[in-house]
Amino acid sequence: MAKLVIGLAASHAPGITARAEEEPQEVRGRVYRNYDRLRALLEEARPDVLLVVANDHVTYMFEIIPQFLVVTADAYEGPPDHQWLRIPKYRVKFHTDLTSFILAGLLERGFDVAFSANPLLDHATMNPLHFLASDREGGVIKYPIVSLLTNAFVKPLPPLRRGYQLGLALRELVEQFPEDLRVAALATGGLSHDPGGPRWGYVDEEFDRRFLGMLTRGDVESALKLTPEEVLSTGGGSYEILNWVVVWGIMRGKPATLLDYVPSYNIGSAWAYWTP
Amino acid sequence: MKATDKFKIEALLRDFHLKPEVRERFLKDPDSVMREYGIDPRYWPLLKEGRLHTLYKMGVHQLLLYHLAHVLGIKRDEYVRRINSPEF
Repeated sequence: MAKLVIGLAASHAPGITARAEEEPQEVRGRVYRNYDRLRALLEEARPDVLLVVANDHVTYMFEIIPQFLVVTADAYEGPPDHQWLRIPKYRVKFHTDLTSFILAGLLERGFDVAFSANPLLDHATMNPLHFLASDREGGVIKYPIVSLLTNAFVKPLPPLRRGYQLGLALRELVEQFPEDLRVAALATGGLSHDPGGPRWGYVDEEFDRRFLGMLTRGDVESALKLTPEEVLSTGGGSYEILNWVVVWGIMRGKPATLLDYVPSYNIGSAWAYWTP
Repeated sequence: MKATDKFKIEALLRDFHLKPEVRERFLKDPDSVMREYGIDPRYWPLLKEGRLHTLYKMGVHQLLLYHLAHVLGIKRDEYVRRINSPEF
């Protein structure tokens, strides 16, 4: 049977690659070291598959906006704006058997997730893969992935509680998959930021530290009481914490270990991990 | 703003991000591109002049406004000024 070997969470701030020089060398180095530390933890866990929980940015999920979407493609090349992001155009392969198993299992459990075989994976998925799972130069992502996209930007948003429940169901399904696979989960995005909004550049450190406190204490109930309105009051992009909450559910609410929190590149960026 | 009017504007801004040729055509002949996208002419000046505050208050998504600013060459400091200034 498959098993969950590690959970990771990391910022996907596009500026980290697209406008790297905007931050001083000390901050830049700290950001890159955090990805390196997560990459080492991931490699130590020896995953066969990476389950990536990221959000869309009103690009792919546009004419139709699902709250959660499972990618059912075989392969993908992107992101489309890789030149602006200053990362290679990567080839990603999907673990289609695990994807199909998860999709069917979620539907059986009452999660009416959307699915698509024609994905557009933007920096939310591809930038963390660049740092954590790529060969960096050759344009190859080392692990097959299962890709789950969330709606973190277009109201009405799914409650965090629903995201957590989805994570719990994903864990059950991973552990019921009848192959000996080692599965790692990765949440991307957050924390507070207001991209393109009136407070673009503002980071709500008080909110970020409060959320990270809940995460590291394993205080799931306090986190799930956060409403979309409360989270969005800290910035139009802050609801990307939904991705973290989904993976927190996959990790069954265990306390996370916080590697670092660095307000940088206009985002309250954080890096954390869970052991199973 | 009606939901369908907003959608047409947002569809153009989204294509600014995904389709370089739309960006290029808009810079050469914005009216014909906005006509092609079915955008009501009363909103054309808002887009051409980068009236970010007004568009934001009308409900155009902030992530998509960023793409308009990119096409118009509005840098981040100026963007933040405009989206917070009622004269825009």
